[in-house]
Amino acid sequence: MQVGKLTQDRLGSKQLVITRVFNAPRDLVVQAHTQPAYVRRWLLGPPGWEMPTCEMDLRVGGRYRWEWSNAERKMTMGLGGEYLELDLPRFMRVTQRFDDAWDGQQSEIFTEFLEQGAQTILKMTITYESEAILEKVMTTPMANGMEMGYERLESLLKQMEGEAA
Amino acid sequence: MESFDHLDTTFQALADPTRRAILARLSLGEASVSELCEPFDMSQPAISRHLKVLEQAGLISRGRDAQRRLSRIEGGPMAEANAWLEGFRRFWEPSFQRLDGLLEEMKTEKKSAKKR
Repeated sequence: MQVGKLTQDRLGSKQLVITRVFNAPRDLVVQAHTQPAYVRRWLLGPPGWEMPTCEMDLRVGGRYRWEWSNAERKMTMGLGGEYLELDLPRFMRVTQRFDDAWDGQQSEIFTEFLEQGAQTILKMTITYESEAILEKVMTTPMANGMEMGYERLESLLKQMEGEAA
Repeated sequence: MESFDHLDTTFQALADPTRRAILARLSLGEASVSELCEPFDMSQPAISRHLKVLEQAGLISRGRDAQRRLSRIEGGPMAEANAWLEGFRRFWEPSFQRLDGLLEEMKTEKKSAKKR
């Protein structure tokens, strides 16, 4: 089963677009993104992390707060922001700031849920405060190189899964 | 945080397409200024200026031989920048993979709820 993978593209001077296809109807993908009981089950990053705090006051002007912890590495991480615009299941727009952002900046994230037959395309457009910060986030040749690396990793993982089964 | 000190200079240097192309060429092996000029349709002083920026960012080093001053790529700063980007993706890709699993569960729940 082909599940679309993450792509990362630069748009203009201050924006980064992440897209990912999911084999599920749009209403489920939206639920998974907007209900804390679901969000804390998947928005965890690399293995070892938990999400003890997941507060989402889903209304325009409402705030959200996410905190992660990694018991093994004795690390915590947190971020939060405000809902600026909500037009679900079509899209939502939020601000986002990491607690310990080394750049000290806030970004704005526009998340669209696009229907494609039985699949849903998730499209996140992240707008940074300045071009300089995006320059830090992205350059073309490295992204290409990384993509190749991840493709290799993906096929390796598939192989490992096959061996384990 | 201090591990990202070089990121500004690295990314500023990488922000220019000619400099990225120079790096791509150097990733194949050392090259002299005149060799680097050929594919770029650019004057030698212009290429030299780009090389200077790349050298100051630590992305390349240049030989001291006046006759044939060879430029070579330096992996350190690039690896650091790469690590920063990888961190970004390392967060999202496993999360999305987990979301795939959760969505499968949700689909099953939805089906069985309909049957009831």
